[in-house]
Amino acid sequence: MLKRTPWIERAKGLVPAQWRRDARMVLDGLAGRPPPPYWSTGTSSRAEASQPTALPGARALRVAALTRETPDAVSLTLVDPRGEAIVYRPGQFFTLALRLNGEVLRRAYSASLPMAEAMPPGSVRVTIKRVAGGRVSQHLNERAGAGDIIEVFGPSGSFVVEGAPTTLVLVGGGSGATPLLAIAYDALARFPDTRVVFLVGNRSTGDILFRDELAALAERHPGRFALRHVLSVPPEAWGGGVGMLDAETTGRELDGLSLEGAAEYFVCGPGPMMDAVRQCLRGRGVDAVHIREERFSSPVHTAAEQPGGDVAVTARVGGRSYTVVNRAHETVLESALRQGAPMPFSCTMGGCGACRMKLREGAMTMEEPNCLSADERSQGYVLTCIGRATRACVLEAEPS
Amino acid sequence: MMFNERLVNLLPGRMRNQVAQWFEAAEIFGEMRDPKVLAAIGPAGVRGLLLQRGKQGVPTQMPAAHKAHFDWRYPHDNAEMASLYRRAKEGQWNGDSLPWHIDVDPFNPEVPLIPADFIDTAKLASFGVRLDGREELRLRYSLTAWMLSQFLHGEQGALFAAAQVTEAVQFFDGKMYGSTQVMDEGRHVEVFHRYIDTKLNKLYQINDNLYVVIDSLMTDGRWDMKFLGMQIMVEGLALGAFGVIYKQTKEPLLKELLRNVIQDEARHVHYGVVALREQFRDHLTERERSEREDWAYEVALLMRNRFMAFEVYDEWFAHRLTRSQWRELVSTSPGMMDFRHVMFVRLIPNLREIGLMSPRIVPHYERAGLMRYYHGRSADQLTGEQLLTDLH
Ligand SMILES: Cc1cc2nc3c(=O)[nH]c(=O)nc-3n(C[C@H](O)[C@H](O)[C@H](O)COP(=O)(O)OP(=O)(O)OC[C@H]3O[C@@H](n4cnc5c(N)ncnc54)[C@H](O)[C@@H]3O)c2cc1C
Ligand code: FES
Ligand SMILES: [Fe+2]
Ligand SMILES: [Fe+2]
Repeated sequence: MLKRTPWIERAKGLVPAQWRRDARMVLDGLAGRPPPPYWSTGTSSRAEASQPTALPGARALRVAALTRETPDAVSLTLVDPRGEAIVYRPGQFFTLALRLNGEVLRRAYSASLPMAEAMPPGSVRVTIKRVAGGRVSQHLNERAGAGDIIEVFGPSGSFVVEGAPTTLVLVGGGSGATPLLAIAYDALARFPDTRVVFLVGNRSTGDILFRDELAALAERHPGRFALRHVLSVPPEAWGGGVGMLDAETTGRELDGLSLEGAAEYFVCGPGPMMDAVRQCLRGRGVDAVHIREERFSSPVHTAAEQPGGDVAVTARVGGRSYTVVNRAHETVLESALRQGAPMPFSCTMGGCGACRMKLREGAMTMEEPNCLSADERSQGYVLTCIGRATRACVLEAEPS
Repeated sequence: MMFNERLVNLLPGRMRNQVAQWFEAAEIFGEMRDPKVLAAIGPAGVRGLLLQRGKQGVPTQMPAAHKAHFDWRYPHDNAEMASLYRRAKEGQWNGDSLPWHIDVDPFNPEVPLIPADFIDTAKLASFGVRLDGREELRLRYSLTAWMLSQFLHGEQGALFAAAQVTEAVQFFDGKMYGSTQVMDEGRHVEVFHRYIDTKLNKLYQINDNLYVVIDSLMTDGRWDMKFLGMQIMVEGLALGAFGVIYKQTKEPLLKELLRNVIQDEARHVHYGVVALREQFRDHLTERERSEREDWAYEVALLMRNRFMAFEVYDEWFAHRLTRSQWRELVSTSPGMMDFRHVMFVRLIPNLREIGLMSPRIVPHYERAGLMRYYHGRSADQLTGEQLLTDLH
């Protein structure tokens, strides 16, 4: 059956759509219905995509190469696409900011080579060990590819060797070996009189990070570099240490390494291991000033910590006062920077202390764990990069 | 004019503005002296002013006819263009690296987008429209969003025109340079759009007169007309306009954005001057040259007389002021006067430099009050840095 279309419909089909729009425009104008003068716009997806993190000061680095270190760890070589060298000290870390599922996650990863060893020159190598259920570490292990652009803050941190110690004792567990490897390379190359001891704990042989590199270092510096692996699940005929790096095993291993003279200790690894090592060292009479630690934990932001709404924060920085509004979904640092206050910061994830300020008035919650010591907390210090104001606050930066 | 106005006032209210608008358009074209110029701008004028193609709410298709000029010998044929190409490569910047983290509050009187006297509120009051403090801030916000929206639309035109001109130009060094300008214009679209989209949240429709200029040069097949239209007229006027906002705004992100854009634009206009100077002097008949001279004059007038923020009028005052009251307000307000003054400071010396200010046309510019800009420095004598320091 042929359906009859009204003549006006058929006539319309003969006129180009553009002409119809033109005619409508003229008629609407005469009828007093001019076109809207403007559109209201929101954050369009294009602008959103080119706005990778909420904070200034990040630089976009390109993944130049990927190396699989173990089934659970990958190294990324990052370069500046404009060819600028990435400058840092061995032991320092960079904060990688990734947008995953619409949320920006910032995680710290230590350089695993000193600048002098970086290939190509000017690059930085970071090594990421997969954490069970970990969002960023899983993503980087499974989906990072050469050519990816990653927003990076830093370098940050003061887990660095000052002066040339007689003996340098590096104790690491799991991914904690990362900054220690950079420190070891650097100390062996630059301080000819320094002896380096590297004690590293893992579960099994397959988990050992940088096994070949460490072996090569030992070969290159016989007599100056003592390397000792400890495994909790050793294979048959294992010549190294056995057990977890708890106080007892650590003590036994250190005894066997015949340490003489003053030593500097650098400890990095999971929390329980670090506590055990510290207890062991203090028990052996090592002064706290000779024990340096780096904790590999990222602070956790839970919705429960979210205060209700906008809170006023006054920040005294560089002799001036800035009053800003801490928006509900932002950290104090994010709000303050966006509103033009020149706040100090570096790692953006509670790991370096660069954003430390004194809380003079008001109240703030902070994500835990973070790098503030018990002492600092009792003196009223806070970290703005992981802090959210719950009441109007007055903050004061330290004179720099 | 008077007759028109009386006639218009007899019409029922809602029809009045529309018809007044058409009379204005008819007037523009009635005053064009050269039939060739009328033929060149006329069709675009109908599409822009009568049919308002730019405001129909759908993408606009513009047929573009020009010859792509290939050269398989890759000659090094213009040292000045080659040097512009080198400078352009070094001057590239990344739109992401502007301080986007800055929060822009358009209603914060402490950090005004444009100064308080940009629009003359006393005059507005004399027309019977009184604004309170908050409304005044909103009006200035609207005007800023309007200007930046027109910049953005102009940049879209510049992006496509730069691509066309890169195809059509016969200098190979010019093509190399042109490729950088395409990138520059893309970046300008990016940053203006991002500013409007994420900071002001208000995008005005393209002004009808700006539409006419863009339409007429996109559809013109002669490469030197595209050049003249885009590189000299639109870019030249934009350069002036950017400068005014750059100088007057207290908003740090916008200032930084414009500082970067101005440096690029200075190169673009410089290129236009270099390319056209020779073309107009050595390769055109006198008849062809004078046609371009007239065309430039008409477009200059179009921009001076008609680029009047009528989109803001439609939004704010369509029922409170007549179009001619609005025109008077805009043409006498200090900020808007400054705006137009600086536009011509940049434009007129460039027209002189490319040979489009012969004694034949000078009396007309004289009558339009534009000759006082004649002795300024042209773009090939100015660097981006000088342009910026000129503005302080
Ligand atoms: C200063 C510093 C330097 C660091 N350097 C390195 C490095 O060089 N290489 C490296 O691989 N990692 C390093 N980390 C750890 C890294 O920043 C992340 O914490 C880790 O990759 C987990 O992030 P995620 O997003 O995958 O896990 P999330 O999604 O944040 O956490 C998932 C779960 O894993 C737990 N978890 C978080 N971190 C760890 C951890 N380190 N070990 C065990 N469980 C954890 C959480 O409590 C949570 O239950 C460093 C951390 C700090 C503070
Ligand atoms: S910026 Fe590093 S702790 Fe806050
Ligand atoms: Fe531009
Ligand atoms: Fe341009």
